[in-house]
Amino acid sequence: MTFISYAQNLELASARTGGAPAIATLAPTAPCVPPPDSCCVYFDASLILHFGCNPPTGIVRVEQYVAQILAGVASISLSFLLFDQSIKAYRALRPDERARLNDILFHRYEARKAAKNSPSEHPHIIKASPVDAEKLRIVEVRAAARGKPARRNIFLKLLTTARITREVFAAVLSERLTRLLPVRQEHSLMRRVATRILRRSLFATGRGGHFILSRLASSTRTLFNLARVDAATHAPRTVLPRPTRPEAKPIGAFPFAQGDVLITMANTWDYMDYGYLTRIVRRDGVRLISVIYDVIAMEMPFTTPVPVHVYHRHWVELGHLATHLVAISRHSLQSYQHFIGEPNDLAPSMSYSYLPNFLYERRHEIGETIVPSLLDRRFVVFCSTIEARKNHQLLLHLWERLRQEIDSATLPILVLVGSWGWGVENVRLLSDRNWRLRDHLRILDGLSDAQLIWLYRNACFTVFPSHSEGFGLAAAESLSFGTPVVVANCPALIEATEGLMPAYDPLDLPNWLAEMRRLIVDSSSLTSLRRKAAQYKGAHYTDFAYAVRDAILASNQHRKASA
Amino acid sequence: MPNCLLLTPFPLAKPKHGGQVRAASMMAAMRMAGWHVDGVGLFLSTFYPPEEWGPLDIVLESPELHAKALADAAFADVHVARAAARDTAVVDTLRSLICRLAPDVIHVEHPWPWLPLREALPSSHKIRLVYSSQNIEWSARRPLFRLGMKTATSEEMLAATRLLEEEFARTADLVLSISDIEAAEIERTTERSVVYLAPVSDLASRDRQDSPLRFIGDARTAACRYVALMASDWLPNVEGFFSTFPDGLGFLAQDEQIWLAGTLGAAVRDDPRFQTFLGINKSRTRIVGFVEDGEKFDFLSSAECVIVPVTFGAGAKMKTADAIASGRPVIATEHAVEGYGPIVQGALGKGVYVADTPRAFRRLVRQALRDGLPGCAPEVRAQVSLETLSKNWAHHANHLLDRTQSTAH
Repeated sequence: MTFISYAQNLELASARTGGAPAIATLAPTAPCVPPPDSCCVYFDASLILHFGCNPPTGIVRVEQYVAQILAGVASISLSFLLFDQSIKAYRALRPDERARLNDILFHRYEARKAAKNSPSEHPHIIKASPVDAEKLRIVEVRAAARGKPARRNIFLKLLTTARITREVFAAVLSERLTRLLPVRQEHSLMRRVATRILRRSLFATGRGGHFILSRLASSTRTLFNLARVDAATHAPRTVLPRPTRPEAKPIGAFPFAQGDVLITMANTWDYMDYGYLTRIVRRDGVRLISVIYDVIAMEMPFTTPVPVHVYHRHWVELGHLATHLVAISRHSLQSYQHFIGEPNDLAPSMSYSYLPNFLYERRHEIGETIVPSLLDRRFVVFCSTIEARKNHQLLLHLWERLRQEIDSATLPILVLVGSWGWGVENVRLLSDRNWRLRDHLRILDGLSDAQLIWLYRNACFTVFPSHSEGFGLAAAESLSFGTPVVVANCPALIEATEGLMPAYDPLDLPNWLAEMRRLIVDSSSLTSLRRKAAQYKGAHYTDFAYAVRDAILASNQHRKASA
Repeated sequence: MPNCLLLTPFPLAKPKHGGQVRAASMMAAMRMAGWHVDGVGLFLSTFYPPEEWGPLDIVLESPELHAKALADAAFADVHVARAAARDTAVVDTLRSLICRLAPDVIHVEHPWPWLPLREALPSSHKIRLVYSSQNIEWSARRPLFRLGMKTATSEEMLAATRLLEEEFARTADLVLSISDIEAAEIERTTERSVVYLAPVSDLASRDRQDSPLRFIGDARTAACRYVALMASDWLPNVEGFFSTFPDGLGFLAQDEQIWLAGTLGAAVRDDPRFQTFLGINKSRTRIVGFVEDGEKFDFLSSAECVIVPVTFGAGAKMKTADAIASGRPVIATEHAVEGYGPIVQGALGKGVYVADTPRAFRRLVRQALRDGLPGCAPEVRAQVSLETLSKNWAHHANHLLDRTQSTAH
């Protein structure tokens, strides 16, 4: 059995001192043998490995951070596992995966650190460097890790494609094709016609392919079920069939022991076999600890990329199986209880803790890289995936109004930082076709953490008009750099900004407009808001990870007491 | 041997829905009591397939009537009964049947056949009429209106139905009701005595040991415990399911399931409300499909409990009788046990558990699955047996005949 046990090998200097952890080194070790008074804790690293060294966002960032901190907790023997779709079970990491995980978790910013020591080409910009050393390093790591994981990604994508309905597939395909093959006014007529023909042909081919794929998957399932039913019905009726023994463990599946702790913080709804998860919890006695980011799909079912039932099942199964759930805000905890707990009579042990400001806490390690296109320009930042829930639409309408009211030199650039997500047809129309706004709008994808820090530091202010949030990390990050943020009045954003910042209904355009106008044209308003932003305290870097740690230790104590 | 003609608005060769099952039970009870019974169904050809028709049935054929009945589904029976009463061929056939069979008693299930029967009865006759009510039909129609079944003539049809029921109840020599509550209501409105004959189930006389063991085997193979629900896709059954479990079946653990037998399963599965929580619902249910009579008892008695989540709508409520007869704990809504007063009174909390809110219902289901609940005692089961119905029927029918003879003397 090969998997990594970090606790015995790490040299994490400051994990418990409140600062960000220092860079650690790691070597593969023998199977987990917990020291006395500690327990074996397994961390689901599937998503971390899936995303690799790309700049982490959302869930992946939280996972990486918790993994880094927990690795330094002496009373915990932390090891990493991966959920393998082919065996529908967790398995130990292979050596290449171990090495990759090591790089992702502990050497992400090493190149940056080296670059930091070299003389800056722009001495007038503090801590900023135009050379994106971090990106160079990521390219290297990616090249080294190319191979099997990529194949698995394609397999996963095919599986997901086979599962989604025809309508959803058509919507996704249509959106992707529109993005990949845009038809623009500046194109020639022939090119526009050709693009449309190509788009339609690809759409028809894609739908055909989806039909075949879904039928294939459905037939496989039906055959499997028929075979199972046939086997069951052909058992002699007069004799009770033998009680089925619990399913044998798949070959290669990780052999959990009674009392082991499994931490899964990823978007497991995309890959988990809940039958398997139930078996390892109920039969093997694994204690499951997980995180509730939000239950927005229940609150706003029209904002998610896949049907709500996918998430609903995940949250319900967690409610049945988890020893403890840590929510990322009080609002998330209460929403979970309201939308999942009460309707299903589930009352799992829960707590909440706020996420730290990852970028601010590790700013020295990460450094700063300017975004050349915004150098010496005034700009306002909204950092978030572009998706229906985030309400980019409001900002684009708002900026169009402001463009008409305020002179071009005064109006800051609206900078949307994030990748394109789902349900964004309107945002695309508003951003692509409104050529008048072009000078005052930037959509930036794939920025490094160093660039993000530069944006947060140099923005006039930031905005977060999302319809709903589990926490609203970008709003908190902005405040951590002293940059004020105007937020939507959803409870989680109020929590994230400690109630310091102006908050408006995400559908209340007139009030947003008035606030934006005030902050843009009246420098005293902005200054006063900056003073308020300076009062922001933020969560301690280790708070959230320690909430997970405490849950592990408490469940350990409870187990000992029960024993 | 006394002779009875059993007149029904449906065929009885292959009883499926609750009304048919109740009528078939009555027929079996009469025969058990030593009566000769001839069943005559009077219905529209398109409503029942030919293989379900009986040899004496009078079957109407009319595409116009079919369209009319479908357009006003809540009152389809009234439309068919009116058409039958107006059709001289139907009336003549019925009259000649009555003359040929010369019954001592004509037992009519539901009020509808009374319309053609009224026309077919000889002006002077000594035949005793029995009206067996399965619902107070007019009041049972109103809740259907909120399911989109109301038309411009609905209020008028409702009044006509009420008149028909009350007239027949006053005319009949003996009035039977399937529900104790409705029996009291009919007595109040018609000022005549009504006999309460509870629904029965042929499962009451079955024994677990004689039963096949398919379902318990299936449950073991699937490593789960299950809750049984057997019903048709009749709209109130579907609505009952979703109003009892409006938030899906997440209250059940991975190894706890609800198994749906009968046509209800497919109707529930295809409903958008099921799809909303598809992931969890699919993992907590099994659609069993049609269960043969011979396997019904196995299906119900292998379950941890039997549920009857019906919140509105009328019907014979045979599901409740089957549930009680299975001997397993029965978790039902107040509405589902309505009319079973004397039977469930003593069994409440001791075999029959009533819950009217989703939360209370879920709690009982979980309790049955996880801790176990006591099932229905043999004496409770006995009250829904065919033997009991036969004994009660014989008592009242023989009394009716005695009265006829004494009047003749």
